[in-house]
Amino acid sequence: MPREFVRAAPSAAVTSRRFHRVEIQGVPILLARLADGEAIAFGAVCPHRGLPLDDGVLWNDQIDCPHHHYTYDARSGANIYPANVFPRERAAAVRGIPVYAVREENGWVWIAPPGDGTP
Amino acid sequence: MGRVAQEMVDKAGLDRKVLLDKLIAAAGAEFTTFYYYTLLRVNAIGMEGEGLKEIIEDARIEDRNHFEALVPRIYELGGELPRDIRSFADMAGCPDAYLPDSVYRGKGRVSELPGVKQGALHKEMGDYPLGEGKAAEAGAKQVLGQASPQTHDLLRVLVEAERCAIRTYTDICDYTFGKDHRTYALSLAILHEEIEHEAWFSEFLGEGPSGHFRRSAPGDSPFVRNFMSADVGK
Repeated sequence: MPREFVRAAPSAAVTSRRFHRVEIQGVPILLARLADGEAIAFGAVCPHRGLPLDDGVLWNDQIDCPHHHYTYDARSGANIYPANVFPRERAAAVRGIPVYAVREENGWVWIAPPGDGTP
Repeated sequence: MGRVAQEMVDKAGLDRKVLLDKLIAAAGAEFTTFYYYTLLRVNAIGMEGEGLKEIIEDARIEDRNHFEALVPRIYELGGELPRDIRSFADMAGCPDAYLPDSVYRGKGRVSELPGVKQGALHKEMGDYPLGEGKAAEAGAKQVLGQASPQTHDLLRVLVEAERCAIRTYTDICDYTFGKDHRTYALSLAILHEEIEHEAWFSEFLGEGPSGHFRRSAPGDSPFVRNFMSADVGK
């Protein structure tokens, strides 16, 4: 495993049903699994109001914030809703969430730490 | 406020504060959506807009009904609505359903935005998901090919707002199932209507038949009316 990846959680702990919280270098990160089984890692806070995403769910590989139902592309972190229907100026102000590169090996999920991963 | 009614919810193991936050957020979303749907309905004009007006009106009045049905339950559980309507709007559990740029006729209308031609499809906001499979895509394109960009944009706002509402009430149903029977029954009734609203707008977008028929009167609320103390559908 390349040095830049950090061991984050056992593979068995990462499911599609609930988000699994870890902390890497002081940054809270959530782990989950897409419909095809791919593990993903993303920031634990919704940028809309700064509220935790822990109790959110995955819908069609979109991360659904439990507080106001902003949805984010699970692979890119880009906001999908409401940016797809907001007036242009407001849509431009809707921020995405950070996503981190993930590898799975030897029964563990490894994450490229914040700063080394995808912004 | 009902003391025993609250005790039953507490004894069932529910966190009443969490539940009230969910219900107040849902009520806020219904109230703000009623306002925004008023704007959308007013601006559903012309040959295409006239066809949309009836279902927007049904959804608009039924969302108001949802607000009115939620309020008594909030107070029964010991909660209250915020004193300031601005706070209430900020607590809404779904994003605002703004009038789209292509329809807005006031200051900042689409023709005044740099680089945007009036009537242009707003592809920079992302294409609308057309469903899966070639048949669905072809059907959607056929319908969208006939619809103006303004109608298309209106429908996108409407259908996404209903999808947010479905997520909201599914969450409340999941939270209260088997524990708070009254809130569960109310949330399930609202969920039924939100699912129908999504199906109506989805049908207009060419995603397939909704299988639903018209209401007997605007805002009939066939599922929620039993929970309302105010007049409904008369």
